[in-house]
Amino acid sequence: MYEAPSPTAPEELLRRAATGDQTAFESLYQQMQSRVFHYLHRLLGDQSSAEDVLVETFTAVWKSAGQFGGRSAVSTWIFGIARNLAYNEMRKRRYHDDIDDHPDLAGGEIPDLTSKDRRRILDTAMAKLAPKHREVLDLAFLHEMTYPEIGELLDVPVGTVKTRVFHAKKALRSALTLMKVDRHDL
Amino acid sequence: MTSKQNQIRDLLPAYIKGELSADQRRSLEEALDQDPELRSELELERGLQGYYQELKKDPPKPSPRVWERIGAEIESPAAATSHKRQPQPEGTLLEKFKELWRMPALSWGLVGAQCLLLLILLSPGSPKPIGKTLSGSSPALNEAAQINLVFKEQTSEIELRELIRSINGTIVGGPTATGLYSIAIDSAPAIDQALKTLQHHPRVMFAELKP
Repeated sequence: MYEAPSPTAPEELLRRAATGDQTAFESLYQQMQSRVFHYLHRLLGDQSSAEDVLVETFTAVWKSAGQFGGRSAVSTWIFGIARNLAYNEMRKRRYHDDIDDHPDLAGGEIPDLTSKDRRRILDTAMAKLAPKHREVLDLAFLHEMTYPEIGELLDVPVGTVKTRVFHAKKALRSALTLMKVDRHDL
Repeated sequence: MTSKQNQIRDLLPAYIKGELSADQRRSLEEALDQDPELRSELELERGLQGYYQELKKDPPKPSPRVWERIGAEIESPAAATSHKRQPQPEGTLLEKFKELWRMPALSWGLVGAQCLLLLILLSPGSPKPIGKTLSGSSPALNEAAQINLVFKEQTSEIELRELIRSINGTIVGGPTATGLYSIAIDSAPAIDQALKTLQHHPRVMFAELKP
């Protein structure tokens, strides 16, 4: 599980970091690193790239701490920086951005269902989703962000978040159907 | 899809968590009885919540090296100029030493002292050097515990010497073509502390006991 947050609020730690206080900055890192790293790991899919982007993210947080305007929560701001850097990385790797681009779905991959391993099944199905669909599900279910918070992070209206979650679930259901997974196996 | 269907659908997460009022639960269960599509969505929602609960139990963790890498980045001149340096309330001895080193008067003073020392050492009939140098090759040092050490590329000579001095180390070998130094530590009990200091230092890429 994630570590318990330290008693000092991230807003205060960021304010102190902006004045050059490295101790406060390290506390902020310790508070946020697990969540941000998990987010990056899910987006990028490997430890090494996620660590590289985590380094870039917190270096950027340090450099631009003084520019934080307070219009959103500090955590949302940091997630936003991480997201931009992760998408730059994904663009470099030419990730596909549409489920229809995944030719392996057409063949109807059939996993071994004998163990009824929910996590493995869903991991496989999730990997078939477009990054934007996987991401919105992660933000809602894993990071337990509200729809307004997700909207702020993704810079889209709340209605768009709802629609995206709806389509993400629909795409996940399609992926499971193509994998010939019965909904009761979940 | 009607707005009523949407409203009912929005209740699914709270239904699974048992957070609905009795009225809400009754109306959702009525809708579930009549709508196989909604039942399918409920199953998917349950599956997703269970899946993400599993993920939360065992999150991936970044290696401790990540913080060291961030430390090295924010110590770089480009990052440092974006901050107005203020005295730190707490800091390691090394950080305090670094702060002192950044003071122009002290830096120039030290440069002057080093030049003077060099002149004395190079002059004819100069006394034997006092104090110890960072490099050595005495038999005693060769038998002392040693550490293999590689610095990061951007490490300056001053930082390198400062760090080796801070652990009471002596360079007994290197750098090799790959930048590997062999460092002897004068006192055997201090080796663990020295190794720890090196491994956590942002300028150190690699440090381990020499086999």
